[in-house]
Amino acid sequence: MNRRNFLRWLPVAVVSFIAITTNLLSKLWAYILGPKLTAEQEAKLIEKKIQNLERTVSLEKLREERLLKNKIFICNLQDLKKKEGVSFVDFNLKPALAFKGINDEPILISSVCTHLGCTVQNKLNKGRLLCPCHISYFELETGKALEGPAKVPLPMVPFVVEDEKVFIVKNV
Amino acid sequence: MFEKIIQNLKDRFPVEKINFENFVLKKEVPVHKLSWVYYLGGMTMFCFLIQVITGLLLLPYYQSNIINAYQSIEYITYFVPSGFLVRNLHAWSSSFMIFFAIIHLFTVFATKSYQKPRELTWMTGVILLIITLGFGFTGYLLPWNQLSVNATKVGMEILQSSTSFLPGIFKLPGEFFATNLRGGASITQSTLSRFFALHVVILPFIFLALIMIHLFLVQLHGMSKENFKVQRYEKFFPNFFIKDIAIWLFLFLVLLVIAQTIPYDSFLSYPLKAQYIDNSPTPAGIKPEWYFLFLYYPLEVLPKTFVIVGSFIVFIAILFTPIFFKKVSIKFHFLIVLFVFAYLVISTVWGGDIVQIIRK
Repeated sequence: MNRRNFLRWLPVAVVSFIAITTNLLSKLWAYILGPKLTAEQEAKLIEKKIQNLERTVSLEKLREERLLKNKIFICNLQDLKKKEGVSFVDFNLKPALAFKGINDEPILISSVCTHLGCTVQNKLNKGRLLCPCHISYFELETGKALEGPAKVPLPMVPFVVEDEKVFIVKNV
Repeated sequence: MFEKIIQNLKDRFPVEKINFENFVLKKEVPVHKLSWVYYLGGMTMFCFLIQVITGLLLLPYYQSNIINAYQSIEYITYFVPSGFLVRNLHAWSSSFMIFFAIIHLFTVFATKSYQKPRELTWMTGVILLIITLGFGFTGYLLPWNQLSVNATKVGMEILQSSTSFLPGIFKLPGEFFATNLRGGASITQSTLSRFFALHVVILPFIFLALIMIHLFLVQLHGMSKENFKVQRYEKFFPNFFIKDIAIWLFLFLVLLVIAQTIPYDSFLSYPLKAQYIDNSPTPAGIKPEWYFLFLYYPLEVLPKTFVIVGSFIVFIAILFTPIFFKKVSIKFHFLIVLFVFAYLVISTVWGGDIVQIIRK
C-alpha cells in the first residue's frame, strides 16, 4: 500500500473504528447497569421463580420420603391405563412408569433407557416403549430391548397392591 | 546420559534467546505461500480472549443453581440490555475457537511443524484443544434446558461405560470419574455446581498455565520454517503484528454481526430449549454440540468398545505425534490430514443421515 492510498483510507478506518467502539462501549455500560423492569415484568419473573421453587420443594419431599419409608403409594389401580403410563420416581429417584398390563395386572417399569440413560416416553409407540434419544424399543411386559442400540432390558420395579392401591417397595 | 538430558532440555528451552533484541527488535517472521497458517493460532487465542471477556460479563447475571439457572439465562437474553448479544458472542465464539483450533492443528500437522525442537509446543497445544473441548462440554450444561441436561446425561453415561469392557479393577475408572464428576448417580445440583466450577475456575486456570507455556515456546523457537520455501522475512513489529491485529478486528466484526443477527440456539426446536424438569420425558433430537458429532455418531452404530478403544488410540497418536510420525514423509502427512478432514466434515454434516441409512 502506498502512502497516498494509506492516507485516503485512514480517515475511513478511524471513523468506523470510533463508531463501532463507542457503540460497543455504550452497550457494555447498559449491560453492566442492568435492566429497569416494570412492576408487571418483575411480578411475572417472581411468579416463575415461585413455580420453580415449588417444584423443587416437591422433589425434595420425594427424596425425603424415599429415604425414610419402605413402601410408597404410587396411584390407584383404576388410574392405570394400557397405552399411557403413569410417571413416578422409584427408590433411586429415577423416573419410572406404571401401566395396566394383560389381565389388568399393573406393570411397573423403569423408564431410564439402558443405552445411555435418556427417559423413555410414557406413551406406547405401536405397543412398545420408545426411547426417543437413539430410537430404542422395549417390550412393555418384560422390558426386553427389541430394537435399536439398547441391549439390556429395562428393569421392573417391585411393587405390591393393597386395597386397590399400588405401592412401590424398597428392594431388600 | 545426564549430559544428554541437559542438552535436550537446552534445545527445547533455549532461554539464552530471551532478550529485548530477539523478542522485539529483531524478531522476524518468514514469508512464503503458506504464510496464512501463522495467523491461525492467534485467531484461536483471540476467540479465547472473547470467551474470557464475555464469560466475565455473564458471571454476575448467571445463577448456577438448578432452580434459577434456566430463568437467569432467560433474564440475560430477554431483559438485560444487549444481554442476548453477550450470550450469543460467548456461544458463537466458542464454536469459532474450536474451529480455528482444529484447523491450526491440521496445518501444523500437515506442514510437519511439530518437529524438534517444537515437540512440547505441539503437546501443550493438543492438551489445550482437549481442555477447549472440556470448556464446551461443561458449558453446555449450564443453561439447564432439556437439550443440555439430557446431552450431558448421555455424555456421562459414555464416560461411565468407557472402561467397562476391561477386566478386573481396570473397569473402575470410568465409573469413578463419572460418579465424581456428577457428584452422584444422576445429573443433579451437584453436577451443575461441579461443571460450573470447572467451566469458570478450574479449566481456565489450567488453560492459562498451558497457553503461557505454549506461547513462551512459540516465542523461543520462532515460527517454523523448516518445511516451507521461504521467500523473504518480515519484521514481527510492526509488520506482522499489525496484520495480526487487523485479522483479529475483522474476526471480531464478523462475530459481532453473526451474534447480533443469528441466535446461537435458533437451530434447535422448541422442546429442546425448554426448561429441564426432573423426570419429564426426553424430547426427540438430543445431540451434543457439532464438534462432538464426529465421535457421537460412530457410538450410535458401531460397537461401543471399538469406538472407545479406537478414539483412545487416535488421541495417543495425536498427543505423541512428534514421536510416532517422526520418520513419516510430509506427503503422507498431507494425505492423513485430507482423509481425517474428509471424515470430520462428512460425519459432522451428514452423520445423522448415515446413521439412519445404516439403521434401516
